[in-house]
Order: sequence, then structure tokens, then C-alpha cells
Amino acid sequence: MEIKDKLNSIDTQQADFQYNLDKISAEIGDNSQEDVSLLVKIISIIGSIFATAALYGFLNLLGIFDTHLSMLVSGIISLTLSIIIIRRADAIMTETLAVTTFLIGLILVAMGLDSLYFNNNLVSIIVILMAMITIPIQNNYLISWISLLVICFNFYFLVLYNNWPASYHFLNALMLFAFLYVCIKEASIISKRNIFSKKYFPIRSALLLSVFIGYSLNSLTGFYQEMNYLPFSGLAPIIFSYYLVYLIIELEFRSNIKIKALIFTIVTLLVFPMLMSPGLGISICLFLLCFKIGYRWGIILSIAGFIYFLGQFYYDLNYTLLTKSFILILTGLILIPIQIIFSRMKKYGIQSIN
Amino acid sequence: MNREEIHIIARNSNWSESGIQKMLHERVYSDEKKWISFLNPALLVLSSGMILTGIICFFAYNWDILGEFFKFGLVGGLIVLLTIMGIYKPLPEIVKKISLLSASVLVGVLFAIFGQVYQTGADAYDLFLIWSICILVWVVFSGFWAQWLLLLILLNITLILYSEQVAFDWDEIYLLSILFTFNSIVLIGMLRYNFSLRRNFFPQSMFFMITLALVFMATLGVAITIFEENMKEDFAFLIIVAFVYFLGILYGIVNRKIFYPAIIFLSLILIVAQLIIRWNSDIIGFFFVSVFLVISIALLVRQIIKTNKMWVNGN
Repeated sequence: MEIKDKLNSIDTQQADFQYNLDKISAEIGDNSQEDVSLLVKIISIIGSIFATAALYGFLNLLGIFDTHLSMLVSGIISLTLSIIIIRRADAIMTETLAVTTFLIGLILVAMGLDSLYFNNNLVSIIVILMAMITIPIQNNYLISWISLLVICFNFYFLVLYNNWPASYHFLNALMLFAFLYVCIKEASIISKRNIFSKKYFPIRSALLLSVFIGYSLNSLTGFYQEMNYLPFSGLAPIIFSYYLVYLIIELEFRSNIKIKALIFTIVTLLVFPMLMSPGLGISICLFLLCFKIGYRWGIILSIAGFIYFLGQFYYDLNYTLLTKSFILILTGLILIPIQIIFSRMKKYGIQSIN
Repeated sequence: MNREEIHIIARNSNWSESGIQKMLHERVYSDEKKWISFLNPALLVLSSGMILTGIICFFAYNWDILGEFFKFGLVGGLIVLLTIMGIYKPLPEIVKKISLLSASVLVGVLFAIFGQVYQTGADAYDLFLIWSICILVWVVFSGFWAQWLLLLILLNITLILYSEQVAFDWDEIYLLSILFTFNSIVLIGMLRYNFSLRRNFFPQSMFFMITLALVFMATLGVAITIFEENMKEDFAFLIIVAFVYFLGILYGIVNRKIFYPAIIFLSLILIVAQLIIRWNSDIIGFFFVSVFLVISIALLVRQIIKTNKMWVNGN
């Protein structure tokens, strides 16, 4: 379908529809290579990591790390250079250089501040502010993505360094809410045509990674699993999962009460495991959300997480192997009639379940 | 219209929020059919996986009190049952293939139980070698790519364990040479088979995984050769890598698959970077490496985009 045809189809639905054809054609032309964009991003990231490591070695041998002043000045120059490069020059040719100088700049500034015996909290806050400043002043996906990751991970650093278990669970819930908002309100965000609409993809991607890692930390390392705090972490995915299920069945299965009841039953069966295993909870919640909006990498990550955390959940259950075997078999048997219903729906259509 | 195009048009027009939302629902978001298409097989896999795991846990709990006859009989019986299911015509094709694959996996379990019961003390590579030989006929006649993947994994494990347990005179490069050559021949064979059948018997994702493994082995092997200064002794390995890389680039260009030349050139860039560090691991060396990496990656990315654009436009 040509660009003009696509725009005409929108034109028929909106009377006052106006657009800039040249810009749209140019951007769609640049974007037509969706199949290699992931390959290009991965190669750029790998190249940047190795180049950063080599540059780190060079600066180390040069003695930049010997004094805090040299680290700070070099770091600021490096950050400024990366922004200038990415704004002025052809992005494809200079992306690796810009990302490399950006990464090394952040590392130098953080190390420089640390060597001045600044409090780690203050260093973290300054790094967050610097990352926030870089986001609106350039349009590169990778630099925006790295900046957002730096911001999210530094929030987690602040919570973990200061040993604030309640804040850790609250931060998890907040990150999840932010990701949910960004995904559900996609149309609203991009229609505003502001900085958030321009940075939509790196924001979504960075939040996905931060949410997943944040929740997984709890399940993988076992810290902050005191009973009075754990439900807060597990509660957020459960509440949001119910909300997502409500949205999905209202939009897709609105005509069928039996299907609605069935789907709510499945989610309710999962409440206890989700409460006990935040990693499992977040995998289910992310799957529901990412499958709903067609976000492929979110689906893959959530399925991989679900398989891993489900296995971990059963492994960690405080019962004998015999009891666990009965629980597993029983769960599998409960799922069979549900699967048969979905199989009938696939074969005969949703009306067959009435 | 895909998601990226919707975003581009939204950014450069006055498209209303409701219009964008409608288009996203129509073209991007999952509808009822997609949900049912996914949940149907997913629930099947989940329920059968949980029942199977439960059964395994049950027998694991009672393993010590089970007699040898029961242990062998259970696994052997399952193998027979699954093999019959694998050739029973009325069953759907996918069920037959998965049954035969499960039987292939259980063959290894049977041999492991044999080793446990009779304390044969055989080196582990024996188990994987005999496992591979026993399932060979099923692999050839099953018509299922996953069987070939299982066989490939078993043979690689056999080679690695053999080098650790028997062939003590094999150094890392010798082992890498054997693994690299073997897997390259397998990859070429699979590509050739797909070509002769004129369809994707082996999925593209399998080729990507094997290629990534080969490139990783080659880059690691060359790094060891460079830093241990064994270029003369390991010359054969370098020749094999160069030849296979040449074939990979040629294949990618002839068949217009940008992945293969891209990943090979990335490996070559990293190899040259290693050579620069080996030549001079002082300030100058690190400076040249960082400049080289930045410039070469930029040129590689530019060339990938340019070449892909040319191929997409039919040039």
C-alpha cells in the first residue's frame, strides 16, 4: 500500500486531516528497513561496548583516572561532544562514536564525583539529572534509551544502597504503572506530538527492561522478601492483571459471559502464585499487556520469564517432592478443560461457547 | 500499516487521538482471533508440561524404593509407547513428531538409569555417543528439524566431553577447530538440503543460531591464537576459519541475506582490534583500537543499510 493510499484512508475518516507528505515520505523511506534495524542496533551496541572498553583502557593509560578534576572535565567534554556529534552529523555514520563518547562520559563523570568523596546518593542524583538533560536535546534512539535506563537503574540504586525495602516495592509498582500507562495510552501520547511522543519507543523499551529486572531481582536474589513488604510487590501485578483482563474481555470477548467468567477464573487461580513470586506475577502481567498491544519483545521476555519463574516457584515450595508432584499434576488437569474450550473456540468460533 | 508508520504519520500530521487509537486497534493490537490462536497451543503445552513434570517428580520421590526392573520397564515402556505414537497414522503430524522427539530424549534417560543402576563407571562421552547412534535412524526418517537439532547438540557434547576425558593432548584450538569444522559442514549441509527441497525444512532461526555459535567459536579461537602467539602452529585453524567466512559472505551476497556477511564482518572487525592490541597494548594501541572500532562499525552499519536497501529495491 503506497504512502498516499494510506494517508487517503485516514483522510476519509477525519474531515480536517492535514499532513506533511515530504516529511512522512522521508521518514517512512528511512524506516523501510525494519528487517535490518534490529541487526543494525545490535551491531551498534556491541561495537559501542567494545569501543568504550578500548577508550577506557586508553584513558586509563593516559592517566585521566588519576585525578578527580581530569575525570570530571573529560567526562563533561565527552558528553558534550556526543550530543554535538549526534545533532550535527549523519546519524548512521556517527552513532557508534556518539554512543561510545556518551557512555565513557557518564562513566567518567560518575567516577570523578565519586573520587571527590561525594555521597553516593548525590552522585546518583547528579547522574540522573545529567541523563534527564540529554534526553530532550537529541533525537537518537540509542542515546535516549541508554539515558532512560541510566535514570531507572539509578532510582533502583538509590533504594538498594540506602536499604529501603518499602521504597523498593513502591518503586517496582510505580515503574509497572508507568509502563502500563505508556502502553495503554499510546494513541494519546503520540497524538500530543511533544517530546514524549518523539521518544515513545525508547521510553517503552527502557521501562520494560527496568520493570522486568526490578521485579526479577526480588525473585532471583530473595532479598526484601519479608512478609510485611512482599505483598506490595506482588499486589501491583495482580491488580494491573485484573485491569488488563477487564480491558481485553470488554474489547475482544464482550458478547460472551461464559468466556469472561472463564478468563477471570484463570487469573484468580494464579493470584496466590503471583503474590508469592513477584517474578511470576510480573511475567503474567507483562504478557497480558504486551500481547494486547502487539509488542513482540515484551511478549518474548514475559514468556521466558514465566517459564523460569514458574519453575522456580514450584521448586521453592516448602513441600515434599511427592506433594509437589500432586500439585503439578492437579494444576495440569485443571488446565485441560480450559484448553479444550479454547480449542473449540478456535475451530468453531466464539459462538460455540454459549 | 504497521506501528512505526502510524507513529510517523501521527508525528507529521494533525491525526486525532481517536483516529490513531482506531488504527492501532485495527492494524497492530491483538484481536480475539490472535488471543485464541495463542492460548490454545500455549495451554496445551503448559498443561502437558505440568502433568509430565508432576509424573517425573512422583517417580523421583519414589526412585530409591523402585526396583531396577520397574525403572527400566517404565522408561522402556514409555519409549515403546511414544515410538508407536510416532508412527500411528491417525494422529496429527505434529503429535507424531513430538512423540518421536520425546522418545529420542527418553533414550538418553534410559542409558543414564543403566549407568546409575549398574555403576558402569563409563565416561560421560560414551553415554552421549551411544545416545546419538541409537536415535540416528529416527532422526533421519522423522522429517522433523528439532530431531536434527537434538542430534547436533548431542554430538557437540560428545566431542567436548571426549576432549576432557580421553584426548588430553588436544589443546583448546584443536578442539575449537574440530567443533568449528564439524558444525560448519553441518550448516552447509542443512542449507544445501533446504535449497534442494526448495522449502524451509530447517527454519531460518536454526541457521542464525548455528552461525552465531560458529562466529563466536571463530572469534574466540583466533583471539587465543593471537594472544598466545601460536599463529604458525594454529595455521590450519586460521585457514579453515578464513575459508568458511569466505563461503558465508558469498552465500549471503548470492542469496541476499544480509545477516551472514554482517555478522562475519563484525567478527573480522573484532579480530583486527585484537591484532592491534597485540601489536601495541600501550596508549597508542588502545587509541588506535577505539578509533578503528568506531570507524569500522560505522562503515559496516552504513554498508548493511545501503546493501539491504539495494536488495529490497530489487537491484
